[in-house]
Amino acid sequence: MKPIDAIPIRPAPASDVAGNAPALLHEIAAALDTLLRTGREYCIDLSALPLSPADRDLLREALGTGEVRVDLDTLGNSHIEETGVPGVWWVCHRSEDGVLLTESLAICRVPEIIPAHPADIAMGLQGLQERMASREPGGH
Amino acid sequence: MSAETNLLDFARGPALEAALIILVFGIFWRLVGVLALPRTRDLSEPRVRHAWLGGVKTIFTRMWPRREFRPRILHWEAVSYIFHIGLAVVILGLVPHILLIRDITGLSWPGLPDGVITFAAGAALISLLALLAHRVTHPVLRQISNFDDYFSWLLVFTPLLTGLMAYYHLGGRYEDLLGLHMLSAELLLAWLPFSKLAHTVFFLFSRGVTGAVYSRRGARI
Amino acid sequence: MGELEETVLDAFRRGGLSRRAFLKFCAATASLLALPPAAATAMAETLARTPRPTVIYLSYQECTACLESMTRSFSPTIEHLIFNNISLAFNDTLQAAAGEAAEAARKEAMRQAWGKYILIVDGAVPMGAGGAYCVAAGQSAVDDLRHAAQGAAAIIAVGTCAAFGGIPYAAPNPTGAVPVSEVIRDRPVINVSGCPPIPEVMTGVVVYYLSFGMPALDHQGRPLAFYGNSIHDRCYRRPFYDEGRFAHTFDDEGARNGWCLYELGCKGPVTYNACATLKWNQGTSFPIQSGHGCLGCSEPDFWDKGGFYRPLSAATGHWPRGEVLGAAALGGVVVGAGMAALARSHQKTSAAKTAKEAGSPPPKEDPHER
Repeated sequence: MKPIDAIPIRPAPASDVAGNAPALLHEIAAALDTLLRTGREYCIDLSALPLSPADRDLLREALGTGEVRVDLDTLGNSHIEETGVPGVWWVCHRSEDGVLLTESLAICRVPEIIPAHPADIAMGLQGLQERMASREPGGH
Repeated sequence: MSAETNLLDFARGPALEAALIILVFGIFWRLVGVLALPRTRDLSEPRVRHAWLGGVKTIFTRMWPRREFRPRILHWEAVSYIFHIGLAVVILGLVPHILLIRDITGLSWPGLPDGVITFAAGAALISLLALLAHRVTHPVLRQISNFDDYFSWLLVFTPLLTGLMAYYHLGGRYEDLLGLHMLSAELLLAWLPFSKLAHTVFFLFSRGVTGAVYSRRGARI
Repeated sequence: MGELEETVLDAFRRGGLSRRAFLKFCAATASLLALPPAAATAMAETLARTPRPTVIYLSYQECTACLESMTRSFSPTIEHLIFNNISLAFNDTLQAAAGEAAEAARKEAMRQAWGKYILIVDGAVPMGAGGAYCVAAGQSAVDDLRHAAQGAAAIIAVGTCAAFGGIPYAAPNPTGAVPVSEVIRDRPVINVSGCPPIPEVMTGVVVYYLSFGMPALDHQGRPLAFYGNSIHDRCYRRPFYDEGRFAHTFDDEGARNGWCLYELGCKGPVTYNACATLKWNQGTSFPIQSGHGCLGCSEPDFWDKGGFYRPLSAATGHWPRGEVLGAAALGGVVVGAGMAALARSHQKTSAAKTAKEAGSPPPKEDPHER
């Protein structure tokens, strides 16, 4: 039997044509304009689009790198970073074993997943108050 | 389960088998039936030694109109050629067709890219429409046309149309269109030996016999 | 009754997970379902209010590969969430209880959630011999299914066996197996076909149902979100098909170059599933990417279509081509010769008749005239 490396298999060549990125940039620009005028948020699911490596490079290059980077540690890692275009966020959700669940571009002031929710704040407050109460009377 | 998938299964299964049996049976029946018919003896002195050579020659000379007729029919001859070549390219060049032929006969050859096939099919389809228009508008042609002509036209047109529709997913799900395409083509195969479409096989014999008879009599062919 | 039911979000919280985990879960699922991203928000809002559902998973004539597939999905987190945190599941293969205890647990779960539970059925239902081919705890599969269906809010047929009859339904179908939709005829059944189905599809359909209700189905009862496109139309090898570049064998130049597998019997053009987009095994690959044509496992009767390696355009029948067509040719020759002979004798008699009337001998006929 041949060793596996000796079997001449060539993977199908990856496309090096950036066919979809330019259209995507137009979509982002339109969404930003809407956000500015009406405050309506927008989201583009990158994992559902057929993007070639060249498309991704072009997208990264055009959007650049911004100032904010957020790492969420829940159900595995999530990495959210603002691109060089304020209001455009690159969102990457991964599962606990590191598999990419979904990748998207969120066009908003801040992605919904980041700010604390009133219900959670209330629960946190309740917990904090309970802890404060249990500390005070005993005094130790 | 579903009527739609059953249509394709029926087309690929029993319908195909039946169509092929009728086609082969019909062609041999008609061919042997015609060839074995008695013909009256030509008592005249043969003007040439090998009259059959004239028959072979006629098969080719009849592929193009004589000079006298050209001004009147050359353009329709050209349209007819476009149709026949287009149809031949589609039938013999499309890989799924070759695979079907390979499955039945064991013969195989390389296929053509789909762009070429689409172009040929489009050309065949348009020329077929033009030929139909010609047939119904031309006073003489209309007089000598009967049900056979129009039905045969329909049976050639339908597989071309449904084939293109199936390929481009126009007007239905692929498997339904493919089933319709195969069924219409099977109807064409079964109809072929008993209609004017039998010229696909008979043209060789009719031209050959005509050529041989006239050649024997010393006519210019 | 009366007390507030636990919602899906509550179940998340009880499992020690935050609202952000919940949002992330919704984003991932919406993406999986190919829903517009805005649907993730809608999904989160709905699920936060939706009572935690009960899922009853019943297995009949099946091989357990559907369950194997589901428990080996690429994002175990999500599947785990759906079948442990989100829903209370009954599955006799996965649960620890057995025998009387298991039956009692199922009856209790069904009684409590009667009219509200999601019923997942895996496997075909044998109707032959009064349903005796598949009996558990003294009850036949068909009776069991009819009863369970009465209390179900939704019925999901998982796998090609449950959806279309599958392997047990294959000719000659000795057990009289039928798909779920043949037993439950008075209401829609969501068919999640595949042998097995893609795990993400199975879970995605459950989440979709919880968030938005009944999904849009195709004419075979399959959710359009996953079964809306043929494998062929989403196949990365499609350009080779268009260019007419095909692999002729599994080890030729074309196969090595990753050309189209149509000639090797790929059923991608008539198979509707999400394999080409979602892929299998942590998104690694799918059959065509691994060099093998699609078998068409998510379509009805996929095993009875002439053969996995026979091209789609070829005949399905296994009749001897040479013999049958040779016999047809021979038959044609015989009939043709017979007709010609008949014509000859007819000609002869009519000629004789004419000659008799005219009083002259019939003209001689030359049978060897060229």
